[in-house]
Amino acid sequence: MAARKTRSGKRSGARGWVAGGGAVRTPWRLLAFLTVVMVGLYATMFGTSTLKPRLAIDLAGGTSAVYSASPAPGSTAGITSGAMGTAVGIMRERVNAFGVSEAEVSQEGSNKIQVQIPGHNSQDLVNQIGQTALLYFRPVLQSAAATATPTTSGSPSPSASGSAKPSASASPSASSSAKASASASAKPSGQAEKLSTLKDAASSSASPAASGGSTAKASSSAAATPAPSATSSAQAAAAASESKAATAFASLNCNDKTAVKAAATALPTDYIATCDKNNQAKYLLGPSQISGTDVKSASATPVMAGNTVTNNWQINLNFDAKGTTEFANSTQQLYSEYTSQSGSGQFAIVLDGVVESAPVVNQGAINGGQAQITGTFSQSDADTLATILNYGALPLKFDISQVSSVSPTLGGHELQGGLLAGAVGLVLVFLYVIFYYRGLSAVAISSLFVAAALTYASAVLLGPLMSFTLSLAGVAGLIVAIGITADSFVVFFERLRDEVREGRTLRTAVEHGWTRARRTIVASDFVSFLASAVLYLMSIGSVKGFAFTLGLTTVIDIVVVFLFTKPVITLLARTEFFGGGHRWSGLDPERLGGTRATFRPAAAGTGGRRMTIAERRRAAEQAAAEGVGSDDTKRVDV
Amino acid sequence: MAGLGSLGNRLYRGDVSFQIVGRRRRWAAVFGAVLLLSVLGLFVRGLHFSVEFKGGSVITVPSATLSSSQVAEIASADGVPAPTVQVQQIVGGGRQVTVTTTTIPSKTQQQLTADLAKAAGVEQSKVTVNQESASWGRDISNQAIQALIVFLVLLAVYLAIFFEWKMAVAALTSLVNVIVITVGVYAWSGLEVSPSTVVGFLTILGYSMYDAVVVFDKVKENKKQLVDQGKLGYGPAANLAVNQTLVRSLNTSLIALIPVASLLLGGTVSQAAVLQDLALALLVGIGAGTVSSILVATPTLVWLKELEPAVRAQEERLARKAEQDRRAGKVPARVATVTETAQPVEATAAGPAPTATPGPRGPRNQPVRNQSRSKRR
Repeated sequence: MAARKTRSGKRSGARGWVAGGGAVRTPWRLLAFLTVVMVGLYATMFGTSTLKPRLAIDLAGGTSAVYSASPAPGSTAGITSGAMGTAVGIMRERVNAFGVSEAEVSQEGSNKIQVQIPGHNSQDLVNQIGQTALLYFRPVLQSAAATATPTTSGSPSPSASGSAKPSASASPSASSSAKASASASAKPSGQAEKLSTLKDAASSSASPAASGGSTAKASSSAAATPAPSATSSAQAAAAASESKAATAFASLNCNDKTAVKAAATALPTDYIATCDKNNQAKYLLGPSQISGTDVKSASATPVMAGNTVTNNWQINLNFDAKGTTEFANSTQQLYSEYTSQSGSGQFAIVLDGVVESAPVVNQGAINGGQAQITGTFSQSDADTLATILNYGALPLKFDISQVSSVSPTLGGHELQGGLLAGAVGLVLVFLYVIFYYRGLSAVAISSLFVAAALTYASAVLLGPLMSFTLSLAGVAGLIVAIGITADSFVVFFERLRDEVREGRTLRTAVEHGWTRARRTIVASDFVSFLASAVLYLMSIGSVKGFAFTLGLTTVIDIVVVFLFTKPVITLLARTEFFGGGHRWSGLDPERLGGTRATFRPAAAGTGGRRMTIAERRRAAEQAAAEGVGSDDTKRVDV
Repeated sequence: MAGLGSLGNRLYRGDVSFQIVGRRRRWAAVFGAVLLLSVLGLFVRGLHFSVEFKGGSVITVPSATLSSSQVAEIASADGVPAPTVQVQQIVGGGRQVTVTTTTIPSKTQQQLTADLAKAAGVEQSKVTVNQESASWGRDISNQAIQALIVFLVLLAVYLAIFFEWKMAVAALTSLVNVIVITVGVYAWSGLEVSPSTVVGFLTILGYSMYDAVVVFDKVKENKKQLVDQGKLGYGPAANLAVNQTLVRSLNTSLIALIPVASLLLGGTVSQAAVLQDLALALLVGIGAGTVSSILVATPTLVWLKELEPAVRAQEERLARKAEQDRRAGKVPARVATVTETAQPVEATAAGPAPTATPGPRGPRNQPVRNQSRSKRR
């Protein structure tokens, strides 16, 4: 940057000299444009007071996790981008629901979701986000106290009831279809144990009212298989699944996690035997009747007793259209069971194979798509259940692929290491460039500084703009990029020197060399950019950060070469030091194998004064003539 | 650097010329042997994969006092099978202990984290934990390899359109060469392969292609100016191009290697595994990439081109002519070869002038051109 200031000092002199040639002003115009861009970038930075780039978890400290998706059991849809989008949305809401600020949830590749939580070690949170996955509403066919632990009556024993609003009439088709499926149902499965502690507790608050539903012998299992086109083979399969689950249920021990695992991976259409989350009760459950995706919203509110708030909490449920219909069918069925005492009348909210809650339908079919689950819920129980209902149903199944919790201290050390490496690398590059390019190195070094300034500003501004965060791999990308930026001017300078070797005057050499170097620079930068763009778009994890910075710096490299290096060289070619091929300019024709005669006589003749155009032209002619001649002689005696 | 500078001059002028294309059989033999050795290394020694590929947890706790045996005791008390414990000294950053385990349940891992934090007397948030599923490293690598394939296809298309398809084939050949050699180096040296290694490695591929593009650009230019004018055969023209860009290649590689080497240094000093792995892969790859873009890409291209009868016929004709000239005793042999390569210098000086350079090269330059032209006539 310092170099630029000194050059602008020469501005007036140079302008006087170039006055008249329109094209000659171009370098100034390009430099002015670059200045405007830079000032704009830095003004934005200071204006928005974002002065430092956002650091990724591995540098700033915090927890990051990558979840990889697999299709939900029984789903044939596979991993669609729509499902991934939904999952990202749900996870984001979940993270926010846990009250973590500045957490980032993003999709990586085609089947991965990355969650980044800055600041602290949040592994518990990561496990919880990964935990909640597949949610189904299943009818309870049988329930019993868990064999391992005796049931206590202190567990929440919820019940479901229709909303207070007269919503039953709102969906007449729903109730009619409920009846249809109910009456069309097959015979009930063996339900020896009707009584469960849960039901007992729930029914104490029940206020049964006779309903007009066709109630008689319908069982919940029948309603659970409403497939109108069900073939006999499908029914046979269902029966097989049921008897298998029934056997499992009989011997189910809730301390044995394999059973619950089997339940978690079961198809929604399977019968399952599983336990509740406290391992206090075990259930035999029918096929899923409503998927958790059909829950539009759920919230937890305190139960009101008149106008006073009680300590009991309830969960309010809202279903979408499909859910409303299904829920109406299901509750119709269950309620009829309940009134006829032919079944438990319970449905279970099953999350990953574990029963979260099993309310009894004791107030009639719920047709309006709105329901409350009441019972002896504490506030936290109710909140948890509402959260699960809200966010429980991811369309895909997620496994944790990678979790890393980095302490801010370690991240800081690594950042320091990276920056130290960058600084040392830059200084060594500077030394090498000075050694090799002499005077030209001033241009090379200032080019690198301009590139560094632009990169820094971009890294800072892309933070808020597209939530770019600088990771350790990104820092490595920046350091590697020094090489790419340097290559552009190496190509240009080598071309320039080639032209000088061929006996051109520096000014023509600049233009000539540039035309050729430009093509090479663009071609090679294009290849480099292509590599980083493809890597960025297709890869995951740290590769992405690395590819991004590499691509960014490639673009910046082009900008710097076109708007800075080239114009500056053009301007410098007009100075005596460079244009005259001074020994230390890096363009000394003699050193480059041309002849000193190319420049010397003219420079000497003017005695330090700037040459006139005529003088310059004459010198150039002479030089070119001699250059070619001496080339010939030289060739023979080598 | 006057040495390299003047070497650059002489290379450019053709005074000194490395027979890179001419000795391609030798290079082919050398690289064939190296490739064989690399493949052998892959089968005999195999690659040593990091925990990301095997699955497991890495827990790092800062502590000035904890010994590795203490940490191993804590780990086995928590039921962690076969932990690896490393004590690292960070320059300017204190001391830390790293435990690497195989895949363990989340609960066990959290227990271990808590116990280690307690033993070290630090808050749990100061402990760094990495937990990788066994598929993570594979996932990240698979994704990267897919990206690589897409890149290669796009690159081949780009080269085929803007250069020619034979250049695309030659570039890809040199790329395969780089890949195999780097894998060989990792196999024989037993260095650990982590996802960061894979990342670094991929960059090299881009980088080595970048190098090849610069050389091919010069080959293309020489072809237009020398071969198409019947002044030089394709092989010698390509050889000249390699020589002409040699200094640039070496310069660029050196400038690229300097920061990478300091990255390795910085990574080692700060014990940042990501930096170390990346830098090491880059170091190996840039080396292999530079050598192979010089010694493999262009010779392969020439070999492909010489399959074309016209190209070979021209080369033979020019060679015969040179032979006749020499027999006729017109010029001593040495000078004859020099002129053959020096010719282009003159040609490039005058040749492109009418077509090239729009812009500021105005009337001022006119006399230069006239002069040199009339002189030549």
